Parts: sequence; C-alpha cells; structure tokens
Amino acid sequence: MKTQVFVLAFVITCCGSAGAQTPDVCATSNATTFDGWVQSLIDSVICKQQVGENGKGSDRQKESPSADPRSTSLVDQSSATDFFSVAANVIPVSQELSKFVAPGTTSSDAGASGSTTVTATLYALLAGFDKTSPTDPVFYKNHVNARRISFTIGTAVSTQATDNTTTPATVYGTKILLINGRDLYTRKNLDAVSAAQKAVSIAAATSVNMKARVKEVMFLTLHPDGGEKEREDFNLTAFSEVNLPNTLRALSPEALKQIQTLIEGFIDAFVGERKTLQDAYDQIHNARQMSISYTADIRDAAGNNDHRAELIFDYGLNPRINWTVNASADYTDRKSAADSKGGRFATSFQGDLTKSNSAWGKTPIRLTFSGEGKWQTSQKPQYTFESKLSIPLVSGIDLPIVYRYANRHAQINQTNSEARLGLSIDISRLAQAFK
Amino acid sequence: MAVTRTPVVPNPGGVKVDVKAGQFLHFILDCGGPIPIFSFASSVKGVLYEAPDFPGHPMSKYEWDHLKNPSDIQQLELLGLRLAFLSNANYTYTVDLWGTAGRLTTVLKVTYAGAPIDVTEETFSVVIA
Repeated sequence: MKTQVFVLAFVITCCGSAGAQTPDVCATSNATTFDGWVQSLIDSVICKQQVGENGKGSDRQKESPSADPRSTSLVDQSSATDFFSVAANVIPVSQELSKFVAPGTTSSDAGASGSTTVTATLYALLAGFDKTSPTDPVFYKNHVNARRISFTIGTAVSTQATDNTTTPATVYGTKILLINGRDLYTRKNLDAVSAAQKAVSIAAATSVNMKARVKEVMFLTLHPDGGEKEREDFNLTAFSEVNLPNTLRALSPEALKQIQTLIEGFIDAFVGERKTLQDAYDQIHNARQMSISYTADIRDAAGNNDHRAELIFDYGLNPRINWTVNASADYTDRKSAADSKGGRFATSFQGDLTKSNSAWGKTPIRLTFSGEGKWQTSQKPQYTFESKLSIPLVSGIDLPIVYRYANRHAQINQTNSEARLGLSIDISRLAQAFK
Repeated sequence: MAVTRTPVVPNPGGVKVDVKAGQFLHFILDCGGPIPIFSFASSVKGVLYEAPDFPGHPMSKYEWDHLKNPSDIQQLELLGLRLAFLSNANYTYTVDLWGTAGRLTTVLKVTYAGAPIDVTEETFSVVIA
C-alpha cells in the first residue's frame, strides 16, 4: 500500500504539467537543445505510463567504525566508501545539547575530546601508488578483489571510567567483503549492464529515426513550399542552441500535437530502456553484501585495549531502504581489572529521504534507525538505540546528527542519552566536485 | 532525470561536410568509468557502433570516424550518440570535422554527468555539401 501511495505521489509530481492535450508551449520555449526538448516530450509521455524512480545507495559507510565510542555510526556497514573517506566526530555536543534532549540527566565527562578515522580501500591505495584515476575503466576491471578490502586508522576518545586512561586510543581496522553482490564485475551484474547496453542501443536507433521525422514535420510546418535547398538550410540553422527557441515558438499548436502523437508511436523503446536501467540499478543496488571486520582501539600502557571481530550483512529492502545486521565478538583487555569478553548484536535501517541529483553529486538526506545489544562478562547487558539524520552539505561532505539512548552510562561514556554531531568527508567525491 | 550537460562547444544542430573535398567527422568519447554504456546511431542505418564493439572495452577513450567510407554518405542523415550513466558517471563527447590536411574545426564538445538511471542523447544533422 505504501508503495502504491509512493508511486502515486511520484506520478503526480512527475506529471504535474503532463496532463494537457498538447505540449506545454512555455516549457518548449525554455528548451536549450533540440534533444532536450524532445526528451521533455518523451518524459511527459512516459510519465503518463507511471514508471519508477531512482535512488542512491545507503550502504556505504563513511563514518568511524562503531567500536569508536565517539562514532556517529552505531552499526557498521559491509562496504566502506568507494575509495577513500575521512570521518571526524569532532563536535563536543555532550553538555548543553545532551541536557536539552534529555533533561534531568547527570553531569558527564567534559574533557572527552573528539575522534577521527580515515578509511581507504586497498583499491584506492593501489590506484594512488599506480598514479591512476580510481575510475579508470581498465584499472577498475583489473582490480575487482582490491575493492573487497579496506583499512581504517585513526584516534578514538578515551575516558578514565571505562578505559582507565584519558589518552586517546589509536584505532586500527580492516574489513573484507566476502560477498560483494554490488560490485559491477559479478557475472549477474555484468549481465544487467549488458541488458542495459542492448536497451540503450534500441532506444538510440529509435530515437534518431523519430527525431529525423520530428525535424521533417517542423520543416514542412514552417516551410510548406520549401525545396531541398531550404530543407538543408533549415537543418543547418534552425536547431542551433541560439535559434532553437525561435524555431519552437514558431510552431503551431497543431504541429506540436502532431509531434507529440509521433513520439507516442515510438515510446515503447524508451519505456523499455528506462525499465531495463531501473531494473539493473535495483538489482545491483539491492544485492547482498557480507563482510568480516576487525577493529582494535589500542591505548597507552595503563589504558584498556578494545578488540572487536565482526560479521556484517547488508541487504537492500528496496531502492531507498537498506537493512544492515552486525554480530560481533568483543574483548576488552584491562590492565588493572579482569578482562571482559562478550558478544554484540546490532541492526539498522537506512532510508534515503531525497534523491541524489548526480552520481558524483551530493548524497541524499538519509535517516537511520539503529539498535544494539551488548553482553559482556562481569557487566549487565547494555542496550543502545540511535536515530541519525545525515545531511549533505556539499558534494563529498555530510553532517550526521545523532541522538543516542543507552540503558547504561558506560555505553555512551556519559549520560544515558546524548546528541552527537560529526563530519564525514568522501575525498573522491569532493575531488570530483572541484574538477 | 538529472543529467548535467555542460557545452564547451555548443551543438550546432546541423553540420555541413564536403565529402568531395575529403572531409569527414571524427568522434571522441572520453569516459569516467568504470563501464561506459553508449550507442551511436544513424537515422538511415540504425546503430553504427555501441560500446562493446570497440576492442579493449571498457576503456577511458573511444574514437571513430564517419563519412570516410562512401557508403556512409547520406544526405540529411541524423547522427545521435546515446549515453547511459548506470555504470559510468561522466562523459565528454567531442565531434571534429577533419579534412585531408588534418582537423579543421571542433563541431561540438559537451560534458555530461548523470545519476545511475539517467540517459542522454546528442544529435545533429549532416548536410552533404
């Protein structure tokens, strides 16, 4: 039912001006290219046939690993960022903001500093050593397995109460993708790309045939007595970006309607192309991913060391919602007390609230709900719930805003609830924005 | 649909080619990777080239000629390059007019950036002089 409502809302938005009998003359006047103008007519016709829409991946982890107590990510995701990212959990939101969101909570350790981690895939490192662009097609094809492995290094905050030191820990981590259903170079995904190529070729052949006829309709409308010389001059001059607005304005409503009818006769190829691309995208985007990871927070001689070995599973429930499950074994090496061993289970749902406007543009606004249960020897169970809103500031830089509640203070080092702010930077995406 | 199209040399809509003087069109497609999806088609002959036709596909650069072969020559042929962004986010499309002595002019040059299910197309008519 929700899907039907969503599709209906999309169709209403998409088709806002498409219900008219003839194309919108104002819209045609604003077209800057002939291809753009024809595409707007194609979109208008397809929109009436209710096609789906796009989304963008919510499975890429750019925040610090969850083992970092200052991380804005409660649940780890199976794949790291495509190439290279930095996560800085820098904002000391604990005092005033925590009190604001959780009135009556007790005072907390104000001395806790922020933490920062850097994550890079082996692929990104190899591309760097090779001085090759990470998007180079040949390099990408030849280093499929290098995209399965990522490394994280950074610092994490330490508190006297839980870590026996206030010196920040050094974070080391690695992650290996065992199942990488979202890589293009799987047999299934290559088949989807091949199907997309076939659909694009069918649409290309249809499109040039259709556009040649559209141009002919326009010529016959504007030059009913024109000969071959006029036809050649018309094709050389009437469709330039400078002259196109005047050419379109000169068309009568009858001619526009004739063109729209012509396009309707060719629409199947474009509908097929769009469906094939959407299906291919959904197949790749929603595929399963499973990884194992190891993260260690290593502290000074007096401080406790935390180790976490983790199994992570991602699955796209639909193009906008990703589901992640973590199961981990945790070990705390204490210097002045008995060691602590235990397990952890966490799950999260990440939903995209907006669409991305470009593959290398800003990521969508993303809402995440997460829950974690942690059971360790000599400690009562710890349960934590988190909601996170990740807001893209510019292409490559996101601001995660987090509210976290825990049943015990140790889980969040401070009060039983707090708000957190962070900053995640995708270097590759940021660099692309400045190209 | 949200393709960002940035013309460096705007599409003229129509190109005059003096094939008797040895002129022809040279096409270059630069791709951001990892797997470009495109098709080059004629209103007269249908699909002329698609990405997998090129040895070495996927590549970062594809080049081909048109109107060098006399059988290609068709008056008022509409040529179109259709691009999909499913597995390649960025393209730069360049069309040069060449003569017997070398490159005469750049007919059009446009860069594109798109989201995964976007497609776009660039067409122009060929007027044989």
